[in-house]
Amino acid sequence: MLVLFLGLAVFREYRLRREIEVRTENQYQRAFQEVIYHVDGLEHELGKALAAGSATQTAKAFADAWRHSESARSAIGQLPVGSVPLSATEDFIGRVAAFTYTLAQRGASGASISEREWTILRDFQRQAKFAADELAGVGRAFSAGALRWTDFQRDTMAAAATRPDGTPTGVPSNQVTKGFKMLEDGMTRFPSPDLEGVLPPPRKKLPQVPGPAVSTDEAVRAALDFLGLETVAGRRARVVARIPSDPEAYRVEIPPGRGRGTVWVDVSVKGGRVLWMMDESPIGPATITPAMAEAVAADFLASRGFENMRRISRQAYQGVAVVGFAHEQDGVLVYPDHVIVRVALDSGSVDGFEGTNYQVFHRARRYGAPRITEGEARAAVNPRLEVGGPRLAIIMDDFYRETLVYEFRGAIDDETYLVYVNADTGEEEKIKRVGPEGVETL
Amino acid sequence: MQRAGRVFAALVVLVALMVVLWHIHPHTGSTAGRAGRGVERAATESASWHLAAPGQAYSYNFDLMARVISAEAKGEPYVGQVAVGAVILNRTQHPHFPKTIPGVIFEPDAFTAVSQGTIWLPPTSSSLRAAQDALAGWDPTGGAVYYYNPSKATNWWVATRRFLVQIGDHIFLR
Repeated sequence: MLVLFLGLAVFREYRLRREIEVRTENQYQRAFQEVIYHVDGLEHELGKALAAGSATQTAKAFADAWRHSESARSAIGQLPVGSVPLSATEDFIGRVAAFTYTLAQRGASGASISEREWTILRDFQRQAKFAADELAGVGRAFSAGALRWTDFQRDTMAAAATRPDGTPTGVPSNQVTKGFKMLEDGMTRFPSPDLEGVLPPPRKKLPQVPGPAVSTDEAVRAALDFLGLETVAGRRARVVARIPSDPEAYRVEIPPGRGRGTVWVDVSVKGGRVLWMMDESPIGPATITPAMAEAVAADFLASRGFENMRRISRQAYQGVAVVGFAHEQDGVLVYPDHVIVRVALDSGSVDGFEGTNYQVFHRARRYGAPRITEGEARAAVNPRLEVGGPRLAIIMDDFYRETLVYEFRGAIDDETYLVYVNADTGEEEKIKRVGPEGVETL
Repeated sequence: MQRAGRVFAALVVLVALMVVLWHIHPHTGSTAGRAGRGVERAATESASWHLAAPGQAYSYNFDLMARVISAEAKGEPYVGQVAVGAVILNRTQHPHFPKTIPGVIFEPDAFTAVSQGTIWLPPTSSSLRAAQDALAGWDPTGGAVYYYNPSKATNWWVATRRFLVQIGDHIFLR
């Protein structure tokens, strides 16, 4: 009786486990088949773009190719290929996505492609064909060898987790890993077309803070000054790390005391400015309101030498208020020079700061008077938007280029939009959707 | 009678053993890694004044991030919790990772907490704040897209990454 019962229990457990494994396996198979499908589709559309004569058909093929490349990327992200390097393939798909996106956008305005772009396109198409063939080969290895992604995942994870010496040879060798390796090796052998002048340049790293390099002692001094501390009782504040971030930074640890927890401050190696700061104390019940916190944050900035700061956003969560400020110069709001200040609502004091952009970019700016008037700028804004009076602002794009713009605040239904119109050309530069407190919605 | 008892005890041990074996994972320790990926960090949007606000997509993302932080960085200093959130956000900006927060979090084998299901435990209150701080723009990692706990996991891929900083038990790399 007992034996029968236990046997049944074990059998049931086994069946459940098997069912889950089959489901997981099916999900992986689906993702992999989608990778194959979209890389294949990508190759097809690139081919069509090669053959197309009209700008319309070319643009259509590019748009479809872009859609396939993005879908392929997303499907790769669902595969358990944790310890199999696929970076060359991913790089390729990323480059093709950027290339096809740019050309599809340009094609929408009726422009055709140049001789050089056609040659790049042909290189990409050939490479995509190779990738599609290799992936299909891996797919065949799966079905022929009755291999399963779930087994593959177990093997590779176990191998990856136990390599102590930094050699990637721990990945077990089977038809699948061999297939992926062939794919990767092949992808690296293709010429990598120079996309300069075709694509917008990649986003650059943040530059260093202006100024000479400072010593670790100076960094500690800067951190203590920022917190308004003369000295620290007991253990000394010290630099615990030098971080090769952009910009490079000293990390200063200030031991707890006088109602503070441990405080971490990053001070730029060049210029010795505080990039960010955070107090680790746990936060208790609130004793002040977020509105009061705003004044605390503004006073804090004023006392630390941040002049003419205007509030641009505010939010409160989990016992803290976070207030965003940007610098204002001669009535122009300079968005690149922004900081955020965190105020603990229990103690009513500033317990966090983030001002990397401000420290990197802040300077007295020189800009000419806007070439177009407010009225002319307004003509560029969608007339369906009820807009409030514009203000002048400087915004920055992904490449750290600054533009003088008119900022219009408008609403459709209950949603708020910030519309930026170039103050020299009258072009609509950017649209941002924000919450009621100026916080940008994702 | 005694014999039946012995058989029963043996079976119980056997079943217990099987159950245990079924639940053991080949990999342990908090690790955010997908091998062979990533060369250079794209400067994050945290650079511009990019703050998040309550909205539907946002609250889902934020809750997920808090869960990962809670499960991956339990017992870590607060800054280390914000750091895990920052790694998730940095990945969404990196060409080798999915573009969305759920995409990054649910990449197979990317986070131990996801593989082992511990992200479905209720998040701690400090992890909720840490997720918000990361979304608001704090990045204590200096732009990391990987981290691992050297005492729990040794992964060969770490040798190919650039060391940035250690916070608590986690080493952050890009």
